[in-house]
Amino acid sequence: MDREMIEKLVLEHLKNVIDRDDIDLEMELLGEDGISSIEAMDLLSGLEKEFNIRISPRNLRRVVTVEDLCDLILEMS
Amino acid sequence: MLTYSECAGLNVHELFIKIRKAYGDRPAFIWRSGDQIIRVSYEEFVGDVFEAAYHLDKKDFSGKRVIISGRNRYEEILYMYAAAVIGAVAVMTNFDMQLKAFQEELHRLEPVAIICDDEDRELLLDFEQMPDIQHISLMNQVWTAIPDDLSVINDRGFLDKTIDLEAPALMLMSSGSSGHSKWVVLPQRVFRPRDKTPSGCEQIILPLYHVAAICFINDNLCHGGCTYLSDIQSGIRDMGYFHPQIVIGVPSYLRLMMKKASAGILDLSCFEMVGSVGAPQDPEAARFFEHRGISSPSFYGMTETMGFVTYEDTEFAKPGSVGKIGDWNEVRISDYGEILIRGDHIMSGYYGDEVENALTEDGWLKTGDLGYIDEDGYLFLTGRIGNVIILSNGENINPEIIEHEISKCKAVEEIVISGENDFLVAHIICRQPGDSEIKAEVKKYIARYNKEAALPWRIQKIYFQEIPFERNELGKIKRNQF
Repeated sequence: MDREMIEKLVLEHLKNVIDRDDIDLEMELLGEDGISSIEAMDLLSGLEKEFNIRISPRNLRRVVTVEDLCDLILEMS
Repeated sequence: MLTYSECAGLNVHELFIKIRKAYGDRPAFIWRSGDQIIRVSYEEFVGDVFEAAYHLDKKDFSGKRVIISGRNRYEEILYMYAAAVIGAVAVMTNFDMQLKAFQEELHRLEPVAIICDDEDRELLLDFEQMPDIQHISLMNQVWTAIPDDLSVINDRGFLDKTIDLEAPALMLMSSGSSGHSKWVVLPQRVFRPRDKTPSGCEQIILPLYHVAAICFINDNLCHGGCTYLSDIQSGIRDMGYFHPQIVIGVPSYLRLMMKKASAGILDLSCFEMVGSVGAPQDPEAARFFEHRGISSPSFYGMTETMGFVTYEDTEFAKPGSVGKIGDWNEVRISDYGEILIRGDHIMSGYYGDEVENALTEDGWLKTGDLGYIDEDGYLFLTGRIGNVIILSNGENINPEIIEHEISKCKAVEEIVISGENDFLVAHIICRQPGDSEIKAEVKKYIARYNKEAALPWRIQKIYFQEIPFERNELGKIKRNQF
């Protein structure tokens, strides 16, 4: 799967969790403008199914922005 | 249902003999493995525990510490009890969510074995150099052979010793009443069930290093219930397979369930109870579930009390209270307002900690929580003695650890960490307030810290302040101003 497709799908999943339209790749995933740590686990569950990969919560340590998450998925898929 | 009084004076081995006899073919655990649903009866589960105990005993692990780490798997529960059966100490942990310094903590414990998931294999390289470790094993590969003569794995066959009720059986990490992380040592007696624990078809989503997960699994086993094994990541999806009656989660997870149910993704019709642990219940979520006929109590307790101390009387709940004091423990308020607890579920102490004693001479646990008890036996919390921040995801954060770390940045004059719902914020006074370059330096430093920190410990927002922090008469910053 190419990078562009991964970004599109990650943003779609994130929109379902965050329920907002103004999200982009530079957005910080967690925190005030992002999602809670519990929602992050739920997001991972959806992404694992979508991309057929296993993302350990430990991998999330590298993730600050949505773009970092896309990098991680690209690396794993 | 095995009651609190029926289980008096039993060690874990004796308790399991009783459990097997009481519930035999009933399902004890159910979980998903890929597209398959796996079911294990009480008979099979106790058999598995005794078989694992037999092997642990052969390795001479009795009285020693065994680290168990995984992601809510059946085998973790199995080995936790197996260790307790032979008088070893199960240290329940997880490599995912802890600080980097956590590995040093594990070294301090001088474990004889580590049992963990395959995916944590790389982390074990560090431990393999430790001279005291006799055996490092991975789940599913732990035992290559079962004993030739299975008859040795019977009710008493392989154990020719009686394990004392005060012998350590379990260790869990806690932020402690003073806010410094410690290993809580829980003896054999803490597995005695509480009659008020909700039991039935219960889905576990909390991690197994969380005391509430162990407390609810243990009491559900003693009451003959069926436990569905799941985790936070797959919890909502698994609810669609299992249709549980009971789920216990941290408040932010209950909010997620509320959101999913509102969006039509989660069907709540099977639920009888959605309970909250780890932090005060979210009133909006509680109302949401109760409006749908689902009870939504919150439970007050600590790692040091092996779970909850109070329960919610659904007929007579009191707003603002954390519930009615359970008859399995005594609770009183000290002269200076601190909540003190005594009973069979109280820890025996902190590992290696001789300086700070959280227990009084006559066995009362000093909780660090301030509160009062009303005339009907309901407990109310009014604050904490220490500075621990309790986030809505149940994480207990000691702000001083983070403040110390960020203070190493030369641009930071003063810093205070506080909590906002589910995340941490930093209030900072720079050495040159108003200088944008200095602020940028601080932001960069915090971004670097965040990259290394586990998720709940990350700083998600920074407030730069130019006026001094308010201080008390001793010159200490008043934390309640944030």
